[in-house]
Amino acid sequence: MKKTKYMTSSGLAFSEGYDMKRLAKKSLKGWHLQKFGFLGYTLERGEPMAVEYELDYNEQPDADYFQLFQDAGWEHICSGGAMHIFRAPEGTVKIYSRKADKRDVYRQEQKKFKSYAVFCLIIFTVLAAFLWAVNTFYPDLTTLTVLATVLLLVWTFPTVFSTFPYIGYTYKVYRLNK
Amino acid sequence: MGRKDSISSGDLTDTHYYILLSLMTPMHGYAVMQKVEDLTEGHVVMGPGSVYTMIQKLLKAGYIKPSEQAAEQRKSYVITNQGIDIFQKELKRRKKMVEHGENALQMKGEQLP
Repeated sequence: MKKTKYMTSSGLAFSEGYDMKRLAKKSLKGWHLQKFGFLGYTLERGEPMAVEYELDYNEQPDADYFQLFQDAGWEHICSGGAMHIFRAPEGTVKIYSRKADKRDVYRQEQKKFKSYAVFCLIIFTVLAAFLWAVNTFYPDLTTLTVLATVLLLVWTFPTVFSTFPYIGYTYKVYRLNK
Repeated sequence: MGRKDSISSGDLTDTHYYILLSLMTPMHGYAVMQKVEDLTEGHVVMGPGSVYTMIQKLLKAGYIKPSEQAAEQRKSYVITNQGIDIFQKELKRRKKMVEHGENALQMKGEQLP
């Protein structure tokens, strides 16, 4: 029998709550989060447990950060960049008991992704304009058109992966401010 | 952060108030959580994420500082003179609020709780 399996993520900027609930459901069936995988999670086989998962952001976590969570009942499971996932028995006090603190966390992420997104969108616009200009003024230069198209397509990835999280975090901040 | 949070604008929130009063004696983050919960009989319960964030903010504001007394391999914190100053102001403000409330009730001829 397989010891690990993969679970997709819909992007933590959007589906944090949904992903954490899905992870809890998997744990109830005996599949526990082990680590972050490519655009998702790796789960490992174990005994079924009634647990909750929560995500926190911390750019520079120190030993004391994880110790505090541990003391409060939240076991550190895995980290990916500034993201850390914790697990606790069902009914443990949430890691953010105050809405304002949670909002500040998202606000920091929103700020970070805003600069990425602006940078990516500017380059994206320049590349798109370049492709358009090549097509319009030099329709015979096929190599250049192909090159411009490839550049634009490749650049779409960082653009999407910065702009979408920015929108996601902006929405979260907006919701928590209401 | 662009927006002013409550610490820099002067008034302390209930949780900041309880964290500061706990740190009159040096203790680590989890001890603060337990102390506040005990003291308020479960009315103020804080999660580790909130406590960590608030401790960082209070450190940045200069109201608390790391204490030399590390307890059980955990970093401890203690209130600073500046923190005591702010706490005294806050206590005065809260006392005034209670006084105003009591006066209002008495004027209406109602009993004090």
